[in-house]
Amino acid sequence: MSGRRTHVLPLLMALALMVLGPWGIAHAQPGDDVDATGPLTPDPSLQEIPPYADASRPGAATLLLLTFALLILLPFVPGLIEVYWPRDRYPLSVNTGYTKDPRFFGRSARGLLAGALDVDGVAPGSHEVVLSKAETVEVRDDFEIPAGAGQAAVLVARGELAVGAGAACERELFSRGGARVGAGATLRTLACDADVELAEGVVVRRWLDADGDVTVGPGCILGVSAAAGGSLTLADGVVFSRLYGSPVATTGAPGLGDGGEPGARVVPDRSPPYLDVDEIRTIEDLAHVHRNDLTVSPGDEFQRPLVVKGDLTIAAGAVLAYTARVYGTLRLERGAAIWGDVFAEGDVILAEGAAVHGNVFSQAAVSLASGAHVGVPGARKTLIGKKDIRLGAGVAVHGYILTDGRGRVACAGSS
Amino acid sequence: MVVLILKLYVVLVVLIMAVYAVRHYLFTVNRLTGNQRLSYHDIVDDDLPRISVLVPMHNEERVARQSLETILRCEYPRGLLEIIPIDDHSDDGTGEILDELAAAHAVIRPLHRHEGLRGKPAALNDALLVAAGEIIIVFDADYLPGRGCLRDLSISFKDPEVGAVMGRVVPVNTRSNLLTRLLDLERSGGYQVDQQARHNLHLMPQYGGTVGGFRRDLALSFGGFDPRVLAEDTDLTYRLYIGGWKVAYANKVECYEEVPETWLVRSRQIRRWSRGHNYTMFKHIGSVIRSRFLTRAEKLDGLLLLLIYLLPVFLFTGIIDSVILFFMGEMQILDSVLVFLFVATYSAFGNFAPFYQIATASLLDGVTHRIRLLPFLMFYFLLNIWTITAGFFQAVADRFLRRRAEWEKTSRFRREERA
Repeated sequence: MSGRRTHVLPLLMALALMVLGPWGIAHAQPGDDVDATGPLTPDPSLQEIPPYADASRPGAATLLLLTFALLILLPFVPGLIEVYWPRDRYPLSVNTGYTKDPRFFGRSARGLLAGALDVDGVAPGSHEVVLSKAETVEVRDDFEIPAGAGQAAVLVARGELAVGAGAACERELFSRGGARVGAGATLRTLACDADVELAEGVVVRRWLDADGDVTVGPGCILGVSAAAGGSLTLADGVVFSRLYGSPVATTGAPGLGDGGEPGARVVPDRSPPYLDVDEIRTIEDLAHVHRNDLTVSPGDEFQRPLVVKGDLTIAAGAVLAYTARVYGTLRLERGAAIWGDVFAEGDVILAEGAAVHGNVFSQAAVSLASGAHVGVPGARKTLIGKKDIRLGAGVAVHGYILTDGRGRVACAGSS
Repeated sequence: MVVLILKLYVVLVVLIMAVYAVRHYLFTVNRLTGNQRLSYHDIVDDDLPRISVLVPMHNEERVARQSLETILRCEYPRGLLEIIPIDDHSDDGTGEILDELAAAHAVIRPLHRHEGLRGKPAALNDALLVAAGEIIIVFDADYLPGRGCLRDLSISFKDPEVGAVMGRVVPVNTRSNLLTRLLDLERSGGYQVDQQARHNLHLMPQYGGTVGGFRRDLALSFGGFDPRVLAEDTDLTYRLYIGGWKVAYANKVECYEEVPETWLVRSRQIRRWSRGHNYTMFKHIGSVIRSRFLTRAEKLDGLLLLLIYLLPVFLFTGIIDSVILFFMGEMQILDSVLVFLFVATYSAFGNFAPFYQIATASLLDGVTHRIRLLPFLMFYFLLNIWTITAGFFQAVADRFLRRRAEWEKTSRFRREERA
């Protein structure tokens, strides 16, 4: 059946309803009734119905038929309009080129700029180009936006970029050299090919991306994403949603994790295997399943992943060599470690110097106390806390951090 | 006595319909107002598993090349990837296309099957024996995965409880005609609301046999796929849950598919699904009730899901039952104000539950004009009542006659301009 022919179908369907529905009424005779007990007899009470309600009268029956047809057709009218004059017939938009990239914003913006303008080849000055829309792009070598000033055009600095304290940059900023942003400045976006330094109280409305290291001062707000090709260092009071760096670290007194706390800094020879048994049929063939709360103490040994239906506590100094799947809250006490990944429905709480060498994934909140670590150098891992993430002083996460809620750095004494 | 049985059956059907209406509303309200659990695809991790991508193909020369080239464009470490297109008794040019692509791309290792049983379960079983990946990802031959699809699916197996993963299917040929647009609406409701809500509520999201994956060792330890089952995906889903495993649903891992463009092809497809699903229902219903791994909520959801292809059968026979009662003059079944209120409420809200779910899915997808087609779904549901009922009786015959159903391939409609 061709597409054109099947377009007639909805009309036929609606017409069929319109015709067949009233047909039933038209063929119903006055006084028809289903009475299995004997011959049809008029109900005396019907005599009391006023004449204008008598459907046997030609005028009334026609009116009834038309009303019925109208009412049954009415819901199909918008649909018929959509079939014949479609406004929404295309497939749902699926971005088939999408891949998970924590530095997507920066790469995408750089790609857009490179496609529109040969930054190295053009003369310094203003250029009219089309990025996602028609824009004025100002190309300079080293550039400084004065304190308290505004920046209305897209700016490309081929050298160093300096943004003065309290400046308000409402358009995209690109910098080939390093970038320094003064206290209290506001940025929309910043893509930098070298290092970035944000002073206290800088607000990034959208995103920040740097190929080098990024240092973020106290009380900064980092928009939807802040990513660094190198390290991303956060001071106290920073608010964030997504972070990426190698590593993402907070300032403050180094915790136990940076020191020699046994257990916390031991890096396994290899990641725990996905499967290490010859034959598996039930989950118990692959993992230790505990239906209640569980505490892992130093010296306890588990040769398989753990599935805990309640809360799980890894006691101080204890090490779990495999992945943990927890339905309640997971607590790693001081200096405890998990070499595998962590998947939790409840909160994940890492005490001072505790470490998870794999990913941390929580459908609730995640809290990392002073000196706690996630991941190991040289391999990207992820920390996800759906509702909230709180990072203490001296913590390090090697890779990606994401929260749908509020992420914040809260060193001792801050909230 | 007969009248009493007929009346009780009508009451039973009404109650069953009401339960499913509540289920629809529960899922829909969850998607609108409930806590939305994240899926694992947001995890960034350099440590990925070795995977084998299986693509069963029987006479798929119209789609084979484009599908495989699309999979080749997926980002996944080449040392950890192999693609096994399965030429399953093809007598067209499918085999030559696979060999040609294999000559150009070392990662493609075609498997030619011209002996033994034909059909997806048997084809997958043969491929499982040669696959090197610890994780198996499956696509049907007409699917067009995005570049991140393989990584986003396989990352879920970091969770040791996950036995299988399922992504979202999105029809690509919606522009063809009214049927494809109705199927698009149905798919939206099924994935955007139904599957995601079951994921949110810790119920039983389903592995759908394509745009999904499973652990190879698990499938092998189950003895592979049962070649008598036409719904090998549902069969695997239940075997996993009964054994304490979970199916992870990844709503944002979307993949285009081609849906049937004629009512005849669609009715054959839905009849096959009904036959396979109902066969699986007979096979697993007892085990679901007895499983020590399933929670009460999972058991309830599992049973409702198992019985879902029985629903049109109940409805169909219930309508016949009520017509018989009508002509017997026995329609006065339960005489009570409460019953009247119940029936009135169901008429006002229950009948519209599936429409509400689909409209909500469209809203969540950010597309609203297509909601105007909702009334036309009535005709589609009528088709389903008939074809699913037919499939059910075929499944009954399969079960009790111990016969093996022949695999019926779904026709493809891809045209040159889409290639």
